Amino acid sequence: MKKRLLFLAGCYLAIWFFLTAPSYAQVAEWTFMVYIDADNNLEPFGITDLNEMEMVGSTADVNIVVQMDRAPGYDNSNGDWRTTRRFLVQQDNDDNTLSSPSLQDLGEVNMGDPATLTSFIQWAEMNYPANNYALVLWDHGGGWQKKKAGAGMGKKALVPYRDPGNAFKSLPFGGPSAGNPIRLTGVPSTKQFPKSLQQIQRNTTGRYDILKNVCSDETDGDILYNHEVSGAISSSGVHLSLIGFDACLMAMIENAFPLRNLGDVMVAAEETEPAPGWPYETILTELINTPSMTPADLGSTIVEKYGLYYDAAADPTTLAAIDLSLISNVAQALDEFADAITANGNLWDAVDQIRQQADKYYIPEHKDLWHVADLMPQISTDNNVVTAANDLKAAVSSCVIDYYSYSPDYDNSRGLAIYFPDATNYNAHYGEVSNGIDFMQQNGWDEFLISYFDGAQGNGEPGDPVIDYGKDIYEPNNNLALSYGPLKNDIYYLGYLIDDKDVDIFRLEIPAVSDISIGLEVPADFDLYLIQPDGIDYNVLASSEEYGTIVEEISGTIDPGVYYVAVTTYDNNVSQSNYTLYVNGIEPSGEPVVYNTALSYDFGDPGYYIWGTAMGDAAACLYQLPSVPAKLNKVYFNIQDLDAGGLGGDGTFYLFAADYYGSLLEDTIRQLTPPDTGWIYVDLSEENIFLFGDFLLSVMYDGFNTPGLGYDTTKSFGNNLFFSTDYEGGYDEDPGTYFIRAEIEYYVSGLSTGTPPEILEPDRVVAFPNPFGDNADLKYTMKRSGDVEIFITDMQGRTVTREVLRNQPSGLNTYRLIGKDLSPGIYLVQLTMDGTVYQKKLIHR
Amino acid sequence: MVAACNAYEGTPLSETITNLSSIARKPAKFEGKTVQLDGHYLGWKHASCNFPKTFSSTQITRSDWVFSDGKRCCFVTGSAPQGLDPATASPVAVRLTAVVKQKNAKFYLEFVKVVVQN
Repeated sequence: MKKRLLFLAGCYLAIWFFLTAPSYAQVAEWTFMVYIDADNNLEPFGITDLNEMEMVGSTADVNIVVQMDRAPGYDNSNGDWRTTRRFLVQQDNDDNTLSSPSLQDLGEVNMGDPATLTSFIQWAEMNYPANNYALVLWDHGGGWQKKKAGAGMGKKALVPYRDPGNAFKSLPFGGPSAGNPIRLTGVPSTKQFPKSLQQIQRNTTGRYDILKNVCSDETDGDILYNHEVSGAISSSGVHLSLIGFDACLMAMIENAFPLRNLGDVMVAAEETEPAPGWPYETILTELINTPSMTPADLGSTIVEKYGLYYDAAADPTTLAAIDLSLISNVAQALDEFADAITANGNLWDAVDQIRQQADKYYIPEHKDLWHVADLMPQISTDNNVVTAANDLKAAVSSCVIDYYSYSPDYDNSRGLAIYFPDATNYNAHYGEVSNGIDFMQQNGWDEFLISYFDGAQGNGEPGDPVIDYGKDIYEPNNNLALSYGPLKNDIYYLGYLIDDKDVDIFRLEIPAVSDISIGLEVPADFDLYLIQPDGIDYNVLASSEEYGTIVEEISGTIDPGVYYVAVTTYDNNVSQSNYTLYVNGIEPSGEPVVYNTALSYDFGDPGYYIWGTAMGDAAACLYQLPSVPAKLNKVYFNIQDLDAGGLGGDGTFYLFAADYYGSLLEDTIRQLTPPDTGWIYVDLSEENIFLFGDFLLSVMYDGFNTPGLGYDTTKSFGNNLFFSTDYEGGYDEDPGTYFIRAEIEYYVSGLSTGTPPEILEPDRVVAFPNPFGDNADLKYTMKRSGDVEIFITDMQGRTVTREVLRNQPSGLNTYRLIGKDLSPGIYLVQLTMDGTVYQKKLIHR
Repeated sequence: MVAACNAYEGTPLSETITNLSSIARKPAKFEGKTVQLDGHYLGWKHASCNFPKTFSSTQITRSDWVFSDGKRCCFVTGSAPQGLDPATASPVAVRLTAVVKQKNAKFYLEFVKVVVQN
């Protein structure tokens, strides 16, 4: 009996092997993998291309393997199957009917998931071993843009931010227990979330959401992003001789650079591809006839056949084969080119001309890199710049194995594009190194663009990116990791949505059971959500999605926990206006709260202040805490070596705290040994340093080795970049992303040590912006209607204005202080309401 | 003096306001002309679209997107409206300005501009 079972098992194994294993036992010369994501409107062209491959078919030397996902609704031919199938492509002579047997039907698979791509590569390698592997990603390709809304909805795990210091673990309370659920009267969300809210689900590890993308899976609402492609290939463990993008717009240095160690040759188009894509029949015929061809030969063959096909059709397009082993040389030459222009300092108009004249494509911010370099010597006579431009041209020419272009518009295209926008169209997230694209991490093009925008003023170009973060000092609070907060009672947070893909996330810490009210005053149709991560996903606990109203509100009883408040809008037309968010009813707790700012830093958090001292330049982050003493336990910050010249031996780092007006708190000064790059931790927990209310944490450097603080390498400690020599008002400021994180412990009610200072309940009166330029709004909350007296003096006690506002209504009111008639300096505001005097200091720039 | 010449000010309307059905009926009449159409931007999602015969299979590039005027749909090539997401966009009300073009006896639209409607 046992023998019979073994025999049957052996038969099954033999049948299984026969059905699934390659027909050719030997190791082939090439395995040509095509990842056809036809789960979208390109489905008919996917069918056509697979039929083209069947006109050739696999041989002993060349395996042609395909994973194809189809979509409902676009093509009902060939059985209209809508799942994902794997094929070893077999030869036939019918260019309409697919005849290759399906080796595996995987069901509906998310082709936009990197794990799916990894699985396909590993499956192909295991079953169809070869000396060379080519991988072609077949589908739509995109440009630099915000992450696609809806990507990964419900598919991806939320990864809490844990670096450094396991921030979540330091919190004294967890989420609500199962037996003690949150009770809220907000309206549960029944309709599809706004696109912007969807995106935070997948974007919670600090990555920003502009990434080059390919392979859009319509059924699953997902797409492969640049770092996902490189990550998937890397995870497969398979070195690819050729990586092809049968997709639009993928031949960019930003896309090629991350693949430099994963493959030998990349084939991609700078421009859109005609809908039929690559001519697989002629390409594969050539490969079958000459299976010994090298990766470079195959790259050239693809470019040649593509050119022949579309020359005949007279379709304007491009394609190039790029030697990935030389892409680092191009990046280095590009850096030297940018450095030479920057060093000259007077070529920004020339840069502007070049940007306008260089060959561009469907996304006009994509420019041909060779042409950019080629144009510079025609405009500039600076020898260093001309030499650098010629070196860049040579580097591109060496790196591009072969290229094709058809159209007078592409006469100067040489196969490799770069993102080169004007200031108006600049995506402010491009330079963020946390977006996972290592081209920006290792090269300085993003810094060059910023210099160009600043330098091109007066040439019709605005000096700053179009996104005006000045309207929203909490940006980019676009995901849980970058959320701003924690929100405090009765503070009016003035925010700004850039568009309907923007979502502003605020952190809400509830120390004790509270009857809270979250309000949102909006100019039009904004929406308000209360959400909570559960470690895997996040849940919408309540929402307010009133249509067209100007007040959205969520209220009810809430248990202790960490929550997030999301502000967004469905309607792109109603964004770009300020909104006001406020919370009240948060009950205090007798237990100390450890506030780890790793969860709330960014873009100035919420202000960013740099001031010069005798010791050197410094960067500082402003922290706002309740008006109780807060114990400073730990501070950590990140140092980067911007000039790669090393940090040691040149300068000294100093850490210190200051009050809101920049006055140094001497007991906080720490001199630090010049560190290596990376995170620097300073433990102050044994020193009982208490801070109060708003304060600044600063890191200062007195050397010249230009270390960078935080992840924003556009900013450095170099004396010329930060320090403003016209400093007079006690501080200067420079936008950027600075990372000075602190673990701060405070008691929400009661004090653990010391004597409580006089508390003026300043939170009922908020001034914004502060410091201010043209004007400042004093927002104050009236518990009941009545008179309000506003008395403003300068620091010498001279009266600026004194007025009584009669019969002010209860609730939120606003008083606007006009700055144009005021001299720069500090002003003291006394606002009397409900029998209480509230004071605020305002700084006028 | 302020001249009362409002009737003569402004740029004359150079686009023909029409709809896709009209173009589909007499495509030759519109070829090469700039037209203005009100409808919705559908991005790459057009499984439920009703393409006129003279517009079908006129997808020029893989990045072409689809415009619907409520009754008919057609591909738009050449460029894409900034800020609209072709992969996952919900329909967005737009006013499209485009040039009517012909390829293989079928017609498509070449993008000039899109104004998102309130």
